[in-house]
Amino acid sequence: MNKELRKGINPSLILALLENESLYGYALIERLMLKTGGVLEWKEGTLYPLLHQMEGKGWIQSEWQVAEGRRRKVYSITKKGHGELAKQKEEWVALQAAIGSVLGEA
Amino acid sequence: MAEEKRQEKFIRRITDQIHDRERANEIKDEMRDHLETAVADYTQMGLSQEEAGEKARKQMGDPAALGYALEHNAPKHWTKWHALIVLLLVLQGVIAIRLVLNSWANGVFDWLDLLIVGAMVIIAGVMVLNNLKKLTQQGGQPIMVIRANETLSSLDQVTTGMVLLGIGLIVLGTSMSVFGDEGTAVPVMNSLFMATNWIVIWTGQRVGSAVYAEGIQFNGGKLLSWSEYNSYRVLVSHTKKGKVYQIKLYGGKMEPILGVESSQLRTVETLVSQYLVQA
Repeated sequence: MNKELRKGINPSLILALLENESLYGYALIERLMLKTGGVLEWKEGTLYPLLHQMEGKGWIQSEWQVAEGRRRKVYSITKKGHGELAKQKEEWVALQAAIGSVLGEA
Repeated sequence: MAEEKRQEKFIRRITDQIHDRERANEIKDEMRDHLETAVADYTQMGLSQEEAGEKARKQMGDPAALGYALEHNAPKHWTKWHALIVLLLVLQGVIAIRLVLNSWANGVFDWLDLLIVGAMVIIAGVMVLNNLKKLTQQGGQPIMVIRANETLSSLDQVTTGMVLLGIGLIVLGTSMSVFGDEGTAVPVMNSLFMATNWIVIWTGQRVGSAVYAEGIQFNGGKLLSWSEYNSYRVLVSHTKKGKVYQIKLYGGKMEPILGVESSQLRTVETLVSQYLVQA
């Protein structure tokens, strides 16, 4: 997939993955790979700065837990994040339909 | 044990880019958890502890670049440096206003004095704001971040010295009862301006230089486009501490010199040589 297009969709993907469960960074990378069959993949250098940015925006929040004897930062979606996800889903559906109506004809 | 040391060194290279100590500690824990989870996965797949550690670190890319991206995506919050800078600016403002009001009332001040103090405040303000702007410029995620400790350490010492000098002058000025005697208020204000600006510059130096596909950004400053330069040369000088490596770019209006640690030299040179030819 186009790099720029993929970059723009990353926040929506994070919000969607956190919609029903709280996850830590490593698990988010694994979930995305698993769900998309390896088509989409996050590098650590992309994911962590984005997570911190989204936390700053108040879309997600984090909590420290202890797992396997070490501190683990677990992220979850906030109310604001749910709203943002709904908005981004709508935009995505509209975009998909629009692109489909052009590409589908060819 | 050696593996654990390698991991901690790698994590430190990420958090070296983070100004706020509390945040740096949190990032340390988060990165450690990530690396150890990955290592556990890889060893389960049959890799040795060392191979697994190596693979997990390689997967994360350049640690300084990751740290840089994390620093620039920090949730907006106040650090102690911001608080100190604002405190110093407010102090300067208070002293300046008191100076003008007192002197005007005592008749020792004329329009020329007012002009001089006003110009001083404006010049200092522009200097501080300009340097602050450099610090807040965002450049996305660079390919690599260079923090040359060898060349920066001497600069750090100079700036620390200047800051201490500034603080010393403030203390001296205060003990000479600033508000009563207009004669001491001007040097105090000057030292406050100096201290504020050096703190801004000093925190800026710690940002490091970043290599982008578009060009090089020196210490959080302006991005210098590759198209302005046509060649580079590696310069080596010897100091008491050992060798210092520098990469000098040729061709632009400025010919900047990039300080590089010996461990980073080859990687930086490979990157630079993608865009420029060796002189």
